[in-house]
Amino acid sequence: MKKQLCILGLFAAFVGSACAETTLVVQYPYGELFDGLHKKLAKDFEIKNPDIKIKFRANYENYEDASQKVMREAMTNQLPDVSFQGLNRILPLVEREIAVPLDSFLTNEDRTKNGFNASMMSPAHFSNQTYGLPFAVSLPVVYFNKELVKQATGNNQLPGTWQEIFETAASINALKGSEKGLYFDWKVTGNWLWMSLVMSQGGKIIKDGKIAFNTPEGEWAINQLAEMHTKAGMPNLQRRSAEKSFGAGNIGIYVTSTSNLGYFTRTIGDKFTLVTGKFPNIKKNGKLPVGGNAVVMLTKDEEKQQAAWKYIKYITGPVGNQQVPHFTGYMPSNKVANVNLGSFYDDKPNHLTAVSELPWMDTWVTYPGRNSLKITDIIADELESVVSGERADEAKLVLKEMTEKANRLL
Amino acid sequence: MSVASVTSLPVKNTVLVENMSAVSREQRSAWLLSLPAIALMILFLIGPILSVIALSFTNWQLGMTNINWVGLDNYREMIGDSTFWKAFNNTLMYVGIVLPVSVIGGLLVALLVETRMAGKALYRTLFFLPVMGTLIAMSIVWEYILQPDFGLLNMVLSKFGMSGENWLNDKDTVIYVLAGIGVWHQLGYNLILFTSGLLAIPCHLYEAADMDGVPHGWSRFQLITWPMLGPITLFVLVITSIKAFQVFDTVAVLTQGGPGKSSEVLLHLMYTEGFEFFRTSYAASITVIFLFIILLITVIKIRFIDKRVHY
Repeated sequence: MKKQLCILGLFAAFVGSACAETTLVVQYPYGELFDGLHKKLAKDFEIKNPDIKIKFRANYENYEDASQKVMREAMTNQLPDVSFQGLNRILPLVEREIAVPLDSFLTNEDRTKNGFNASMMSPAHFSNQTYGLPFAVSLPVVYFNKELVKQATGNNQLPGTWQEIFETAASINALKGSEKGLYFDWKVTGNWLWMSLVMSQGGKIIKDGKIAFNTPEGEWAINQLAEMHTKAGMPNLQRRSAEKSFGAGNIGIYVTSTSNLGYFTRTIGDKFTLVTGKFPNIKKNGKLPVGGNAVVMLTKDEEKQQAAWKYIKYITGPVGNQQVPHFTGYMPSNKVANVNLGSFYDDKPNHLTAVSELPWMDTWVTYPGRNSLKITDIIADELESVVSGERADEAKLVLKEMTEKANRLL
Repeated sequence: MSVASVTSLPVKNTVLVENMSAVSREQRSAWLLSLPAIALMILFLIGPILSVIALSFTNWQLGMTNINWVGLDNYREMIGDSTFWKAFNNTLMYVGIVLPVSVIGGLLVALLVETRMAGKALYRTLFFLPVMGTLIAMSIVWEYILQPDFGLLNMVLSKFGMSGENWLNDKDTVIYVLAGIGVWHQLGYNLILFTSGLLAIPCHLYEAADMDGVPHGWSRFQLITWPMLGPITLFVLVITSIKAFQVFDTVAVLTQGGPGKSSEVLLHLMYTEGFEFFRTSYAASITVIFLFIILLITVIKIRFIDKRVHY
């Protein structure tokens, strides 16, 4: 009898604890980059909050996939409670009233002491409400295969400006093997590196709801793209094969997001020395668009919202957010977390490059309106005609056409 | 039929009325029995088609709560959209290659295999393999074969001293490469259909031809085989053209319509517009055009070719 009671008691305790538990369903993109980080954060969070369980869904393939899945799930009522979305993909979720505004959850202390300041809010701030918090941010950097560059130039000096990069690339092309000099990851999501080129010169992407890069800055940017073909002999590879090629040591200079650092370091191993450098030719009044993803709250259930907010605050807060560079090439979005990292960067100069670019960080612009994603695609197609060399000699004309085509849809 | 009317009528008429009520009863039960099928057809075929047509006249986007009637705006945009015309022309080009090559090729290979004494089953299986594999998985295999640096094709070419192309990223080759994969995938299917057609031709026709002194080869093919294959050829033609118009998997996996839309096709464009750009109503109007083409093929089949086929 006593034993039975005991079992009953245990059972009651179990049921009791199971009832008090909230399970949060979470989904994030780019599993190969983020799996380790998210597992670690969820584990730490669950230890601190035993009444909340984190359950991950199979990760989104990329930002496009993340955006599409959420929109479809919103119609069938199968949304996760918390989702990670590309920093330029928050607006469509706001227009469709899928994302939950976070302002009411933030206390004054969060804003002043915990790093949740205006600049952290700005990428996902629309019509005076904050719909997401940046989680892991990135900036464009240059990756060098140090040995290959040295083999071509004969010295240890790495090229700094675009013109130097083009010259070095040309001399790598001239080497005996099949090695290629340069790959500029221009096809990366959301016209990100095109925007980087324009903004690095102080150019604007959008002004008064219309395209604003049909200016000298834009012309400079598209001329660089043209010269990547004409001067640097850049191969027109698809993104995935270019990534593999660089990892295998077949490309000398590679320009893309700092987020690739983790992936490159892993695939390269001891094959060659990987060195990162700052994005070239950034003017004093220049800017760089911030890449990466933000965490958004999707659950409409008030009780779950409280739990979801605890989780969001933890991973974007001063403690949790510090984990970001430990697992990925991304940077923490939270300024306090960044400061707390202290000596972490001392022996990791490759990580430090992007951190040194933080003063230039600005919004990753979303083309406004309902044709936003179509415009991204149109611009990518026009850029391709220049990068592939087909219309490299009339780059200025392409810029004009591209502006007109995009403006027609704005 | 009311009881009163039956009693007031002469006997002869009563029989007629009973007959009529029997007919109408039969009709009623016929309708009743086909009701599930009709309901399902409305629910899964006619309903969706009608709603797609309706959507194409609005500005609705996936997930949006507001919806406005915009008349022909989507169609007007489509006429001025160079991407749509590229997709349209590429699709025609693709069908123009895949249809004749895989139908004629399928027939030729079927004839070759059937005239052989040994190894028929082996050849049939070999040619049918591509049909059994899912095209998505097969596309990934093709991606490795066509990879410019370490792909199988370019490695083989370099052994013969030829330099390969960047097949899938070259404006001039990409649609032919995709059509080639399309033929590879469709040929085995057509082969099996033609084989079944060949096996169904009664032997005595050939024996009779022998006795009448028809020489082997071309005349026999022309006089017996080809006419007897008429119905199956029609079926193969229709199936192949519809399947070719539906090209999607290879494009989605290998090129995503690139480079510069030079491999964009109708179905993939519809998918990109609808599910990547969320321009659902525009995608709906592309679908309407697509359905119209498929309908046209079906009508051509029913109206013109059916009559000329020798059964």
